[in-house]
Amino acid sequence: MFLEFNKFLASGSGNDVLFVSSRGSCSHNFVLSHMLGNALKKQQTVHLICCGESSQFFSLVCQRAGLPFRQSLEKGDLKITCQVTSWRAQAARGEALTVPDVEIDSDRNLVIFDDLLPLLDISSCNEVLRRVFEIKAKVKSMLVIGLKADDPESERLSKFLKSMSTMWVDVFPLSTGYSKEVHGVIELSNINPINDSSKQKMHFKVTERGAKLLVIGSHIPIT
Amino acid sequence: MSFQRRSVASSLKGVRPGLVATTSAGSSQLDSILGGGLPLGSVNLIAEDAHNVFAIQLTKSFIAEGIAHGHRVMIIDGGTSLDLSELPKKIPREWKLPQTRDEMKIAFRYERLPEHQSLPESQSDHIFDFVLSIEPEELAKADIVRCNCLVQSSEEILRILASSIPSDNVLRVVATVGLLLDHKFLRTLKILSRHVNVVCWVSVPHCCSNERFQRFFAIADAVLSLVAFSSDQRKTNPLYKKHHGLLNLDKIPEINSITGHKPPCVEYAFHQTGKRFDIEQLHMPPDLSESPPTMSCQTSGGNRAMDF
Repeated sequence: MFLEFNKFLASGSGNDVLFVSSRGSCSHNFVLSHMLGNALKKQQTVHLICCGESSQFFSLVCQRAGLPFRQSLEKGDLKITCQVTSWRAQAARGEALTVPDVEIDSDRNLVIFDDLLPLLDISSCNEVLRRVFEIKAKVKSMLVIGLKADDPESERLSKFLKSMSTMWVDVFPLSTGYSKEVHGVIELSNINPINDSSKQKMHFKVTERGAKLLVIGSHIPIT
Repeated sequence: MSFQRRSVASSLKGVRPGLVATTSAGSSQLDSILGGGLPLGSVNLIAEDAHNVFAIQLTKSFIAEGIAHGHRVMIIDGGTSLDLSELPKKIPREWKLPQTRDEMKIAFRYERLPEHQSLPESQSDHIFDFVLSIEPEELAKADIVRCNCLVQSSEEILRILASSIPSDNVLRVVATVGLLLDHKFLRTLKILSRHVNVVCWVSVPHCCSNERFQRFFAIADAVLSLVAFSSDQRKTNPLYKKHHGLLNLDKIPEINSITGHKPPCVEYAFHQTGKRFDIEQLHMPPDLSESPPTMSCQTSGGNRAMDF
């Protein structure tokens, strides 16, 4: 499953900034859950910051895929900061939502920020960028940042984030329209100065157990 | 004897249990497109047609379905846009037995294919008649909360919404964004609705700018768009003759899952008779001309057609 993507991740230096963006009807959550699952399987330490979806979403997705989500949480390998829960409490009190001050564990192997769009909804592009730079300065390992980039403001943020990251993944729908068998296109780009820059484009199909990457023009999964 | 853990949502009235609990949108055909109905905890966006002639009918069905099941309904609008006394009346469904096809012999290779003429109806015991209006007694009994966004601030409305979420019932929220309410409101609405018994039906007027709509699109869980045909389009295009417009499923809901229900297609056509609002799969009409179709190619200089 998704071995081509793991090869792409392995081409990085281990302390890269990976930017994962999605457009249109496609969501990048399958990429994030794959990375989370991979890290949990390898018993790496992960800090997951949930802004777009709640921790319950990732818990259910990992459980369906047979990943040790609860065990990792109990062991302390997985730390979750669920911003959605604190925003819900703020909204219920009739308060305006605020951008959180997230305490990052710098010793974690992987830090995942699931979606920056909710932050952009409640603050400005500059404010979001300032927070991202703060987080980047604290993280010594791999930082994964997700963004749903559909409108001009989020596209502008996406350009800034691409300029500060060494690897990025772009997920978008098929230009030819809807297909039940192929759910969209995934583009993997690496501009790591140590290795050669590379770019790969593939089709993908998402199932509950994970995603299948397909060669464009065929239905053969890449193994 | 097997033990199965049941969620609270599955015991609620008008809620279908499943991997993700769903509730009916008020149109059984729309439910089948969405894979059983609108998921609880979802924000569903509907892009209105140019004059909001047809989208308002779907909104009325959504509210009427909620009243039929005794759900709490919260309406957030500018005060005058929706007249509840015009909601369609609930009538019992007449079950029809499948007709036998004695009169027509269909080639065996086509017999195996599913019928694309109409969408499958769900197991609902009622339909809505748009000619008849809801009984005033039924409307008086309904649990309806109305908020006026011209008078109340969005924070105040959201506070009322948060306090109106029942633990033993479903809250249906109907709102219009794009003119008086913005993407911040929609984001907060999504945060409040997630993982609770709330289902939101949010309409966006046709005059809303493209940039704003793109932001709403990114926030919403499901997006449906309606495009009504003009009378000229219906006259000139034989494909559109029987229909009043197109319904597109632009975004498929993915609640608590990385993959949602994938329907065979996402483009549908709708037509409204006096009584019903019907949604069908869009397909090419059969060629009923008497002369057999020929494919011919003519060379530029000659007079003879070259058939192949």
